[in-house]
Amino acid sequence: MILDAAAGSGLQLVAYSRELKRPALGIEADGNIAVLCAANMHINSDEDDLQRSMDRVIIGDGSDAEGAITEYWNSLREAGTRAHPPIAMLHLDPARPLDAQNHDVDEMQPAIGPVLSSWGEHLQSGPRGPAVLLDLSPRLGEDQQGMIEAIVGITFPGVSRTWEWLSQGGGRVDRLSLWIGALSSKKSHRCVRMGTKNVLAVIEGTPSESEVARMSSPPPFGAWMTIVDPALVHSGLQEAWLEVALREGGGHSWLRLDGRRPLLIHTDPLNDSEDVDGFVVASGEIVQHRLRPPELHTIDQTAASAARKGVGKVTLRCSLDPDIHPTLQRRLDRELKEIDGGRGFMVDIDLERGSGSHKLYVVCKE
Amino acid sequence: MGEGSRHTALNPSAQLAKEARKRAEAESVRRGEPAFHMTEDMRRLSTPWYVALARARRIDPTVLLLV
Repeated sequence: MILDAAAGSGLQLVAYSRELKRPALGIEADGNIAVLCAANMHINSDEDDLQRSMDRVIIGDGSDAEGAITEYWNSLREAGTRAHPPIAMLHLDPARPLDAQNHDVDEMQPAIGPVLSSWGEHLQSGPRGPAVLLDLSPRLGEDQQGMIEAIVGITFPGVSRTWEWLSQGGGRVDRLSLWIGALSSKKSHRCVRMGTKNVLAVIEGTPSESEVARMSSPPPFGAWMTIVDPALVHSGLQEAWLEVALREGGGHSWLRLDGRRPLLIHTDPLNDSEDVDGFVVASGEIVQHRLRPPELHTIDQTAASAARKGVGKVTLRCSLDPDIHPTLQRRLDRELKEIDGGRGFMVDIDLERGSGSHKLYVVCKE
Repeated sequence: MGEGSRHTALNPSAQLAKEARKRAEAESVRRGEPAFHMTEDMRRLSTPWYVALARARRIDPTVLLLV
């Protein structure tokens, strides 16, 4: 049986039971939500599937394993089922305060520690330990991740775990989860890029530090610039990704690692692979430097100079006033509408000079 | 429900689905996705269906023990 100790609507539980073909048990503290959860399990199940007769939703406390499991077995017995299905997997997606960067791990409801310790002895455990998945706030900081690690380490000592950062391509981490024991992989960290429906790319590895280079002169024409998915950097796997993304011996430097557009400069184009492309927001060859940002009164000149480089579509991927960014993009698109050229993008980089730093705007052709 | 127990079991059924309809209609977020009964707050915080499905698909069923 698959157990979700804070089931909510039951959507994740429905997905598990569909794919893994196991009975599902959800626990939900709010009686009104529990009714919706049970209804969702019913309307999304196959009536001919006998296993579904063991599905239940328990209204109660997800950290009281004894009380919940006793109620579950009683309910099965009353329905004429003598089976006591063992718990093959525990999923927990605790509710948390909206400001997830500034709350204590203990503020999650139900609290992770009591849930894990309460259910620990009820979980099936193989050579790699029990199968547990914690669905956490994507904004959980490193200190809080460390606290979760400590809680898991105390409850399941010696059991391996894999942290997973998942991105849907919107320039942020969409999901952070910890896959424990039988669900963990051989690596401690994983980054997943999803499209609308399917996984586009996966990378696993060990996180490592990267240095950010400071440029004092404009980057050379012919070099390449790549904006990567920030989830890759959050996962710490950007160096592992570089190993598959660039040919051996190719030169490269990170120009920016923070924010929504981590930026890499490199001497050769990226290797062509789905697991490389999946984490790329944009990649192109440097064809133009501009000293000033795109502005409404000069957008026609910006468009004309890009067109001379054979670029017929420029996506503005630089820091601009969000109030005028969409207008600038629309005007630029209109100016380039009749131009038959390739796709490109514009990024901004900081150049360090003796008198301080200043912005350079770089047009790259994809 | 046993005496003194703080837990109550619900058996997913057509009757509960009927009850749920009074509280929140079942809707799909996108075409082709299954419908779920959710309040607006629940829908806002909910995991997207295809993210939940992709997560389930990345679990190797053979690692879940059968007894």
